[in-house]
Parts: sequence; C-alpha cells; structure tokens
Amino acid sequence: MAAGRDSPLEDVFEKKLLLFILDFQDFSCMTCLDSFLGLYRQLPLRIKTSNAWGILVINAPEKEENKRVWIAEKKLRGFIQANQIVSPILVDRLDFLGGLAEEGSGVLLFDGSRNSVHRFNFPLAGYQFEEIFEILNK
Amino acid sequence: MRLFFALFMLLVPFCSAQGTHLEKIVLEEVLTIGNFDDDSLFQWVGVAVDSEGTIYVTDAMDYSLKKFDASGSLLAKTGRRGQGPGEFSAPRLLDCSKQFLFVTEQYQPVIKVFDKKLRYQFHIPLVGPAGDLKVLEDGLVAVVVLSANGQSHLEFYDREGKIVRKVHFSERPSSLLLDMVSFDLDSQGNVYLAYNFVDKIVKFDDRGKKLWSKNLLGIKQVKSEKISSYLVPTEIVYKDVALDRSGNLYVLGGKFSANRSRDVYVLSPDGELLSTLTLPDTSHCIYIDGENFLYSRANEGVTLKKYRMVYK
Repeated sequence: MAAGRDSPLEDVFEKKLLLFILDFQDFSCMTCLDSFLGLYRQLPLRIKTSNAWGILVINAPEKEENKRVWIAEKKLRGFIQANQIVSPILVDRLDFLGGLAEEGSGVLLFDGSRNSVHRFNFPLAGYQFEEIFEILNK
Repeated sequence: MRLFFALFMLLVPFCSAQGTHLEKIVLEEVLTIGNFDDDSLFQWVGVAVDSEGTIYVTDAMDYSLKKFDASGSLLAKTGRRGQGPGEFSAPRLLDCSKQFLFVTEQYQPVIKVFDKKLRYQFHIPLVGPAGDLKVLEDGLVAVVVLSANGQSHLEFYDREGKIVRKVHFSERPSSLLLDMVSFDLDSQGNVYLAYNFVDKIVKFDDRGKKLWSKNLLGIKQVKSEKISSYLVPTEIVYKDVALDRSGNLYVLGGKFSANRSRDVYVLSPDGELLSTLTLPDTSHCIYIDGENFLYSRANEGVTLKKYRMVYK
C-alpha cells in the first residue's frame, strides 16, 4: 500500500479528487469514523490540502433544523481539532446532499483522467484501503 | 421542647425527600457548561463531581478528560487519540474517589486512572470492556464487565486489577447484551441494577441476595437485530440509574418511556415508585452528586446541565 508524505502518489493525484461523506449520526459512535481517520492519515499532506474535501450530512428533522446544524458544526469543530484534519469539510446546512449519506459515511473517489467515480462505504476492509490507493495510483 | 424541635428539624428533610411523602420533584437549572460557540464540550459522555464541587467530564469527540470548577469554567484538559498512557480511543464512563479519577474505554478492557490534576497514574486491567462503573474508594472499584457468553457479573477490582468480590446477577445465560445493566451502590453496600434491554430493576443486598425486582413499563421483549452470528437488542429500556442522598433510586427511561430518554422514575429504597420527573432535554445518563444536584445531557452532548432538585 502506497502512503506517506513523500509518496510519488502526489504526482498522479493531480486529476483525482477525494470527497469524504461523513454522516452526522456516526459522530455518536467514534469508532464508526475510524476508517475515515485511518485512510485520511495515510494521504500525503499536499493531497489533504488540495485534493480532498469533506461534506458532513446532517439529515435534520425540519423542526430541529437550526439547532441540529449548530450542534453538528460544533461537533465537527471538535473532530477537526482533535484529529488534525486540514482538508475543508463543509456542513450540508440545507440538506442538499442527504442522499449521499443514505449508505452511511464513505468516500467518493473521482478520477478525472478516466471519467470514473468509485464509492467506498465505511468501515473499510483492508483490501478496500489497497483498492483506493491502487485507483489513486493509476 | 428544645429536644422536640431538634427532632422535628432532623426529620423534616426525610419527610420531604424520602418515602411516600415525595410526590413531585421540580428541576431548577443552576449551571450550564457548553454552548454552540465555545470549545468546552463537544460530546461529553461521563461525568463525576468531587466533594469540592469540581466537575470532571469525559469527551469522546476530542478524546479527552476535562476538569471544570463549580462555576463551569474549564480548569484543565488532558488526553488525545491513541493507545498510550493518558491517551484515549473512546473515553466513556467516569467516577472519582478522594484522590483519583477512573475512566473507562468503550471497547477496551481497562480503567485508566488519573489524579485530580489530570495526570495519568496507572491503569486497572479488566476481564472485558466495562458496561458501568462506580468507585468505592481510592483502591476499589465496582464494574459490570460485558460478557460475550451472556452472563455478566458485578465485579469489585482492587488497583492491581485483582477481582476481590463478585455479585452474580444473571439468573440464566441470555443473548448477547440482554444482561447489560447500569447500577449504583448505597452506603450499606446494597446494589441497585437497571437492565438496559429488559424491563427489570433489581436490588441486591451486600451479600448478593436479591431483595426485590420491579418492572415499570410492562415491556415483554425488545427488538433485536442479527449482527454477524449474534442477536443484538436494539431498543433501550433503561439508560442509567443514580441514588440521591436519601437513598431514593433514579432510573432514566429509554425508548419506551412517555418522554423518550427524558423520563426519570424515582423509586424508594423498597422499590416503590414515588414520582416521575422529566428532563428538559434527552440524555444518555444521569448523575447525582453529594449535594443532591442532578446532572444530565443537553444538545446531544454539547451541553452539560446541572439542576437543583426541589421536592414538593
């Protein structure tokens, strides 16, 4: 598995984009996000800052919408601080992307050179980690 | 006359707080820690309050143990994500003795021990992950250890991790997690247990003899889900228990209560239902300190509330 800050992957990542889908419900179960953290830690720093984004999907009931957004934003702030996350993670305040989290948290891997999109749901099995870096390395 | 007055004054608090005279408890909010803008609490899980009124909290979101003064100001914080001494993967239950703070990890069979300045001291190995925890003194903790064979026990550990006493409360082996309980101990050593996935509240004496058993909600069976080869219950009946200074038992109801995760049933030491109070917000736990203040969660763990309980 290729990994690390000086990885040659940095050169081929140019046309790749990682979009992390974080389901707010998984914040109640920190180990549910272990796969995200495990994968994120292995990405080179330049990729984290330029080619990786995240969306926090809330799916709030209408009457609790504002309160739920405030809670989600605060929890996300704590999560980012505690795990040294440097990629931008947006909160889906208007619930545009709720459908993306129907299968729970995961990652979408856009490959611009091949016009392909792959989705991996968390938790990831060991072979899926390898598959992700294989796609990124192509 | 003076003797009569002294006796009368001694009896007043018991008449108002214990036994059948207790009809209604009103909560008066006295402290809030954590709002939407500050960084004091992100997702608190466990709370304990020492005799000075200092409040200690575990926070799962930033893998930390935090210390607040009685007015709610953050005094200190320790911990980060990891497996090493003083680090956490998912800090959960918390209790304190005169000298130490005891913190469990959600998925690890261990209690991590800190001093009151939040300096890591040592750890107590357990035979399985802790389901609930109460500290009796500096070197003695009571833990319900989760068991895969469906027969959990209440075990008393010394600081080296040696089991010095066991209370068997499972009547027969059950499905995974069905005998998961929350518990508290009174000053006589009596044990109060509320089953998390069964409608059952039980009291044992200090020798492990069952004194009474109650079901408050009339729930026959909760729904289960097959996960891997295990049938796992998914609906919580009772979430937590706590004893007040008068020995009354407070039981936080879960999914089946009229006000889900907010109704608290108050039982006398004999198991009589005295009153029901409703928390303003849903909570996963309740905690009552030595001064009889009640603590619970608000805003999904972003906020900790402290209430004075007024007995009517």
